[in-house]
Amino acid sequence: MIATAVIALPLALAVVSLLPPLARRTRPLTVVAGLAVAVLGFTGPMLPVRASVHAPWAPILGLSYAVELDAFAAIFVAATGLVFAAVVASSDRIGHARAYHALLSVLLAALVGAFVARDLALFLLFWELALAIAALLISQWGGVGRSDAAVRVLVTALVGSALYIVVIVSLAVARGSLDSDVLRARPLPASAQLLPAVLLCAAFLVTLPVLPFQSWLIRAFVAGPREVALLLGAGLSSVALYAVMRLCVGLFPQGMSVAAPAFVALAAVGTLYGAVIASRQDDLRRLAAFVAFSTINLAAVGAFSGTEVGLRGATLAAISREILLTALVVAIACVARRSGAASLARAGGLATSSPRLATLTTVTVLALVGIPGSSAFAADYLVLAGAYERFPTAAAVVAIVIIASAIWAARTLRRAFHGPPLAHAGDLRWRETAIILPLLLLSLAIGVVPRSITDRVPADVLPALEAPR
Amino acid sequence: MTLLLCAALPLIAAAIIALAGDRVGRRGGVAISSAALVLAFGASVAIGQAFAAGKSSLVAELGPWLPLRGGDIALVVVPTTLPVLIAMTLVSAAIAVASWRVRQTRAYQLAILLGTAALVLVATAGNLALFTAAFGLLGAATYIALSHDRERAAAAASAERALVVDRLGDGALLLATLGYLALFRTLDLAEIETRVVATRVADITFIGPSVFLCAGILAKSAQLPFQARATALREAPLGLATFGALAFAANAVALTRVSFLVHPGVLAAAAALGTLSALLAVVLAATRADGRAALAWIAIAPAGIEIVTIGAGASEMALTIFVVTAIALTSLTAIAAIGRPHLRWRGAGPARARRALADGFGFLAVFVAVARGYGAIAKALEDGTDASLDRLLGWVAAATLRAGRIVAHAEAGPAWRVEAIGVAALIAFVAYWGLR
Repeated sequence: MIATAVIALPLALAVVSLLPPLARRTRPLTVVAGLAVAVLGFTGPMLPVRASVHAPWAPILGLSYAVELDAFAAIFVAATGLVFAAVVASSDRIGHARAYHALLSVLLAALVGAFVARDLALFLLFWELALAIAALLISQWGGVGRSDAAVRVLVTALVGSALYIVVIVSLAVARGSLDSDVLRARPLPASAQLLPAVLLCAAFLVTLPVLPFQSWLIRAFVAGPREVALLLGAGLSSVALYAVMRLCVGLFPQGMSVAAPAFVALAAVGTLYGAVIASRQDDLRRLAAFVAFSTINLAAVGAFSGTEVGLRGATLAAISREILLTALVVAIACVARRSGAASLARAGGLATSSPRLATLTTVTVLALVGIPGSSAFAADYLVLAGAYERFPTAAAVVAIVIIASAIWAARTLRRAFHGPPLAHAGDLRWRETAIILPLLLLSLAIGVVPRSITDRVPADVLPALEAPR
Repeated sequence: MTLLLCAALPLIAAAIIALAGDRVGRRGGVAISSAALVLAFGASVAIGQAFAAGKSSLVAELGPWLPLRGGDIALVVVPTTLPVLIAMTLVSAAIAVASWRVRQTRAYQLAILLGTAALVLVATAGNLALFTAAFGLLGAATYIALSHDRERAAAAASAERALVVDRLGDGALLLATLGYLALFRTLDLAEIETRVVATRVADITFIGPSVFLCAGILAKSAQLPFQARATALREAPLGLATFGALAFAANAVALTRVSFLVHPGVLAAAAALGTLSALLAVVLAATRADGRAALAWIAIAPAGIEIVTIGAGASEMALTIFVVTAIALTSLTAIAAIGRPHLRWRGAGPARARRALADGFGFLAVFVAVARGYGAIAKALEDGTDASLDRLLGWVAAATLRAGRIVAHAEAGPAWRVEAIGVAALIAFVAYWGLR
């Protein structure tokens, strides 16, 4: 019931925002949709209502409407709702606002639906819906290069879906059901798990993304509207990571165990690559894109490692990066508003004229690179500890990211905020502060109590041989 | 609770200043930061009184943190860390009080508050994860300190360099803790200590984590080849530069807490690097024309000496050196507060002479600490703490240690005489530089 509600609520608000009397209230309505999803996600598992629904849909094909908001899905739902609300609240005026905000709400519903879906076909439906709407939003409301970016998002969706469909058709034939709970109860033999594990994982690797599939994400950040870029870079990437943990590791643990070295290596290299390339960017949107790329790959290292600590760390890393990436994207928007462009070349000396912006951006950037106290520190530590158990070399490679990320962080802060002021702009307005500050406080709170997230990883995702602590 | 206050008070004050700095104003911020640091010093003195009354250890368990064995938030004070705790809170409080006349920015206050909390955590962390986190937090504080002068390009560039070197140290420490976690399946330092068998530390499996641990601590204490952090101190005002010098010494002395985990060969190599760093620092400090550059270089020396003494197996001596360094830095801060806040020997006439003399006394204090350190090494050698030290460290270390004996304990005559000559020479040297 509650799982259906988190999908239906943004859809209902999307319909409401299309009504003419509310034409000037679409943005607040969309923010409310995000906040409502966040609140439902946060409180859902504690409410005395049924958390799951399993209704037949097309039994002959093994399809069902199976959704469940358990504690694990709930944290991703809550984080996505929060990110959505924050980034929409920070958005600028836009043409055809009703249609834009309605589509954004549908995109949120699709992302949330992917988190709560327990049927593999239903997951595909939400997944495809999210990518299609994102492509539409980019093509209609994007900037220079929007067509190219939209096409790349669509191609990515198709490639991933093709691989995914191969796996679910095989499973439907072999097991007669696509309900993940049923599939978990009737697992494939260990010898038959490798191929579906690799194919399913490959489907998500494209969307995470890992090397060399990152170009769609970079273009989406540069050409797409800020809100869509963030929902792709934070929300959709989290869906992919969640699916890796819940479906790949959960359904095919032995297959994933065999394939893990290749995936871990790919993600470790991607982490380093993203951080190194980020340090060479002048365009702040590209910088954010590469940071998003690097951080999701770091989380993926933990997920692919398949260890208990790694999986807990990956979950924490996914939530942490959603929060901090949102704060970074909003801060970049604030910098761009004050310097006239999202470019480091035009943003020098802002600390003098915008000290609060400088302070909050500095904290955001330091938190993103994993300064202790932030959620990213605990996440990085757990991911590395998990990876070190099975793949010490990969952990060492990922540890180099700590240095590479310091380079992009220090360089960005120096070029944006230090030196003589290039422009005399005002400081952060209360609305901007009210968006960034709570995100940072939330990150600090999670950094102090990371187990509020890590303890929510369910036993069916964790490796069977290790007892959860 | 008292132990918790040592770290919590600066953190709470930092949070207040960060979130409500505009409302409390500059003077309000100075008052809050000074009060928090003085109270933290008071709390550490109270812990000292408890130890004097017979307590042998103090543990503050604050609850679970990381989902790893031994990954809870726990602070521990034992008799060997108590002097460090008191000394570092003393210097922080002294800097805060002495900086009243300085036009402090919010970043200035935040840097000292966060840095003090981090130093307390470095000294009292009950597990390796918290130990690493404390070093990371100290790095952030250093970055804030160095970059606080926002309009000076040189300060920003220094801060950038320092942050990168700092994170290099963080990465090394992180890998070290993961290595030890893999070896012991726990992060709890007390549990690890009970499991370590002395002979086992010499195993080849300990080399990797030991190298990372020592590299991390060398980077954090600005020893060779990571001296960029020290030279960056030139760009900071005196209070923050003094705090930076304290941080280097505190980071080095932190090695005493984990030295039982370090492979002997790796520890010897670290000691050799410490020796080289101390030697280079003294030479370069003595030949700088700019007072702040001299302070930046001399800040490395006590840390280097501490690492050498730890390498020699004389951890208690390292603690002594740290405490002496802390007292010297407090004196320097106090002298500077009486004289002027920045080490700039400009102007003319009596004021200039007074400033140069004040600087001379300040440097004197630090140099005496360094000389005392060399003396400590010499004494450790004479006591036969580690007879194999010379062999392990090679000719560089041996030559430096001999020089140390001459400077501090004067094989050819009473120690005080050599020290007096050294002191006179230093005052003349610095005064000449200031007045010329």
